Amino acid sequence: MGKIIGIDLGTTFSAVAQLDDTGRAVIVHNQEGENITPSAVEFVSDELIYVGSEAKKSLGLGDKNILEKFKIEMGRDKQYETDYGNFSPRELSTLVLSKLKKDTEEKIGEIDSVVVTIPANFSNNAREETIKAAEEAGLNVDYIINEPTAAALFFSKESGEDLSEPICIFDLGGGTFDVSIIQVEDNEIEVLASDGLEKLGGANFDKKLQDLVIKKFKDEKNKNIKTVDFSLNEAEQLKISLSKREDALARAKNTNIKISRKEFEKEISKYISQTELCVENALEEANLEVSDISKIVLAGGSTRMPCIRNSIKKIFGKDPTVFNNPDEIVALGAALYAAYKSDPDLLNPLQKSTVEKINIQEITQQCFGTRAMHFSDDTQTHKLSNTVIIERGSKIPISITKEFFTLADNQEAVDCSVTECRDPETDLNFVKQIWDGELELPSGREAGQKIEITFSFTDNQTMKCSFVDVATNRKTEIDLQIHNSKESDDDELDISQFTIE
Amino acid sequence: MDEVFKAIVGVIVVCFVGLGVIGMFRAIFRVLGAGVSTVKAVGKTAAGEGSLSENLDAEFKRMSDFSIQLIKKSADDEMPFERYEILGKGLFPNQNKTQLNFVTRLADNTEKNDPKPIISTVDAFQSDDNPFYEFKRKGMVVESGYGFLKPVPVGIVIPEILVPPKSGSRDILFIFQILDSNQNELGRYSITQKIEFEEEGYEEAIDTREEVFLLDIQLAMHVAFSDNEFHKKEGEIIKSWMVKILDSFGGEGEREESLKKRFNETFKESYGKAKTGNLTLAKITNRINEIANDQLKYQAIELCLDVMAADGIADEGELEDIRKICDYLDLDLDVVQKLKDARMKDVKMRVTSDTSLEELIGIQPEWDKEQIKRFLKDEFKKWNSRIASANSPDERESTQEKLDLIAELREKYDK
Repeated sequence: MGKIIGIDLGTTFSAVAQLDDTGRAVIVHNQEGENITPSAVEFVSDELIYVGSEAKKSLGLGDKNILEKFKIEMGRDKQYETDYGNFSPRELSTLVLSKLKKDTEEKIGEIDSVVVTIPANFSNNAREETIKAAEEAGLNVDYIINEPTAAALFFSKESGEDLSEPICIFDLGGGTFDVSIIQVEDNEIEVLASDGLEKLGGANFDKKLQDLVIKKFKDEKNKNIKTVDFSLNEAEQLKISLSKREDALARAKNTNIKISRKEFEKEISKYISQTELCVENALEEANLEVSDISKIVLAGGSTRMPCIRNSIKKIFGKDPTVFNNPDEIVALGAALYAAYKSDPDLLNPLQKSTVEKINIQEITQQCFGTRAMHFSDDTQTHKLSNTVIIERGSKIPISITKEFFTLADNQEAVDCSVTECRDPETDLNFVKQIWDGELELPSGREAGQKIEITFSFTDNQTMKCSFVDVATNRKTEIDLQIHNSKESDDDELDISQFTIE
Repeated sequence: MDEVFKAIVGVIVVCFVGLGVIGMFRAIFRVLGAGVSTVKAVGKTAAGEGSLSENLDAEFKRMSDFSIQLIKKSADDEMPFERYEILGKGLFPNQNKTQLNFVTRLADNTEKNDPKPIISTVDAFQSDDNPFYEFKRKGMVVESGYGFLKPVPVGIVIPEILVPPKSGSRDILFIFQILDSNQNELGRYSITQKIEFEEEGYEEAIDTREEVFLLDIQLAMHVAFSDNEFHKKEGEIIKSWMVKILDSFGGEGEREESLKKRFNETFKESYGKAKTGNLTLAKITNRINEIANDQLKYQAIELCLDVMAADGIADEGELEDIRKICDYLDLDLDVVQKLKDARMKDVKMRVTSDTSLEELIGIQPEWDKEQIKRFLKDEFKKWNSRIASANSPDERESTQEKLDLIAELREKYDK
C-alpha cells in the first residue's frame, strides 16, 4: 500500500495525516509524539537547526535566530536575517516540511505522494512557493488544497450529517484567517465564495495579551517588565487558560497579576470585528443570507476562544459546530484529498471506498488576465489595459482561450504577460503582473494576425498559459508553477522617477 | 464653489489613492492610452529580407518623423473636465537604445518676446523645483526605429488648474520634449493654442497671492502644532514649500527677496504664536475666504495635508485641524478625503477618540447607522483587497492599520 499523506503547513503549527488501513483519516505523530508540530525554526550553529517544539521553547524572546510565522510572508520578497545567513519564507518552510517528512517516514515509511494545504486567499505566487518548498524538502507534491476546503471535506465525510444546505468553514489559525461558504451535496463539495485576512490569527492575540500584561504590571504593580519577562509563549499559555476560565494569573519577575478574559477580549475586539466583516463579505459574494447557512464548522486552534464562538453565534444566530480537533481538521481533510487524488492501486479496498465518491469543486480566488491594447471608438486611440481571461470565482479546472490580433504590418513580436488581481480590473495600476515575456513572430505579414491566448487554471490551482500565433503555430508557453513570478520592473523604475522630495 | 475644479481634483486624487503620485501619473496615462506595449506592438517592424540596415530603412520609409498634434476634449465619462491632449505620432528621435521620457511644459507666449511660465495649482502637475506646470512621464526602453504608427496621447493639460500671468485670451505654448535616459533632449515639439482664462493671473493678483501664501504658512504651522509638538520634518515640509514658491519668482530678484524675507518672518512669527497657542485658525481662514479662489484654497489644504503626514503619524489633533480648515474654507470633504487618503497611504495613525476615527475613515456626520455599516463593509473589502498588492512593508502596515480602524468602528456601530 502506498504512503499518501496530507500536510497542513500552518503558520504556527503544522500537522500530518494519512488514511489508516480502515480508511479513516488519522494524524501521524511527530518524533516527539505530538499531533502537531510548531512551525518554528531555530538556528543554533551552522550545522545545527532545530525545527518544531525545541525551537518554539525560546520563541518570543527576541532572538533573531529563532523564527516562526514566516508562512504569512510566503510569496513576498522577504528575507529573515539570522547569524547563519538570510532565509526566505520558502526556505524556512522547507525546513519545517523536511522535519515533517523525516518524522513521518520514520513512522510509516517512505512517502509516495503528498497534498499540502494552503490558505484560500493565498496569491498564485504564494501557492507556487509553497509547492517549491515541499519539493525542496524532497516531497512529491501532487496537489495542493485550500485549507477551508480540506476542513469541509473532512467534515462532510466524517460527520455523517445531512449537509444539503450551504455550510461555512471558519478557519482561524495561528496567523491567517479564511472563511469559505461551501455547498456539500451528494459527496460533491462546491466552494461558493471565500474571504479572509492574510495576517490574522493566534499570534496577534498573543501579542495583544503580552502587551496587556506588561501594561497591567506597570499600572498595578508599578513594575516595568519587558517582553523577555513575559514571552509570547507565556502569553499563548495564558490565552489558552483564558479560553477555559474567566480569569488567570500572569507571572513575571516573581510577581503574579490577574488578567480577566473580559480584559483580554476587549483588547482583541477589533480583530474579531475583522473576521465578522470577512464573513459578511463572503456571504454577500455567495449571494446568501446568514439564514441560508446550516452549519458553521470550526478549524484552526484560535477558534477555541470563547469570544470567537460568541461572535459566530452573533452573526449566524446559532452555535458553531465543533467537530474533532480544530488544529487537526485541515490536515485530516488533506489526507482524504491526497487519497482521493492518488493512484487507486495504492489504496486498499476500505480506503478506496472512503474516497471513491468524493468530488470537489474549487473556485479561483483571483482574476487572471493579460495586458493588451484595446481600440476605443470614443477616443479613436488604442489603450493599454488589463484583459481578464479567468475571472475570480471561476470553477476549476478551467481553460479559457481568447483571440487577440497584431496591430501592425510586419509586426515581429507581441508582449505576453500574465496579471493577477482580486477584482476584475481593467486598470493596470490595480493589478499585479506575475509574468512577462514575448512571442516572436515571422516578419512580412499584415496586421491582424490572430494570436490565441489560453489560460488554464489546473485543479492543482496553478496557472498554465500559452500565447500562440495561429498561422504558424509558434507559441510561448508558461507554467507558472515552475517559473518564478516577478514584479514588474517598470513599477520600481516609475516609483523612483516620480518621487517628489 | 468651483464645481469644475472640484471635479478635476476629484478625478486626479482618485488615481492617487493607494498609488501615490506615480499611480496618478500612470492612471492619467492609462486614460490617455499610451503604454510601453504600444511601441513594441506597432513599431517593431523590421520588414522583408535583406540586411538590418535595409530593413531599418524600410521602417523609416514606413513611418514619418515624430510630430505632435493637440486636441481639445470636453468633459466626458473618462474625465469630467475640459482638457487638451497631446497626441504623438511617428518615429521616435532616438538613434540608440535608450529609455525615453516624455515631458510636457507650458509657457504664456502672448507677449511674443517675453514668454512667461504657467503655474499649476495641483502638486502633481508641478515641476519638482517650482510650481510651474510640468507633466513628466518615464517612458519605455526602445531601440532606434520604434514609434507610434497612429496618434497616441502622450501628454495632458487641464486649463482649470492653470494660472497664467494674466487673465483673458492667452497664447499658450505647449512644449513637448522627448528626453533620453540621461535627460538629454532628443526632440522638442511645440504648438500654440489660444485659451481663455477668467481668473486673475499671477501677475495681476500678485499681492493677493503673496498674502495667501503667508496665510498658508500660518495654517500649516497650526496643523504642525496641533499635537503640541513641532517636528523637524514638518518644518522641512513648510520650508521646501516656501522654496518652491520662491522659485517661481526666478526672474524677479527684488520681489523674490522681499517675499523670502516675509516668508521667513511669517514662519518665525507663526511658530512663536502656535507654540503659545495664539495662532487662531478662524482668523486665518476668514482672511483666506475673503481673498482666495478655490485653486488657492486647495493649494492651502494640500500643504496642510503634507504637514499632517510629514512625521509619519497622523495625530488626532492634526486630523481635527484638517477637518476644521475644510469646514472654514468650505472645501469639498469628498475631495479632501481623497487627498488625505493619498497622504495616509504610508502614514501611521495616532488616534485616541472615536470622533477622529470616523473622520479619518471618511464617515460623514449626517449618515445613519446603516449607511455607516455599509460604508465600513465596503471600505474593509477595498483595503483588504489592496493589502495583497501593497508594494512595500510600510504600505502593508499602514493598510493593516486602516483595516484595524475600520474594525474598531464596525464594533462601535454594531452595538
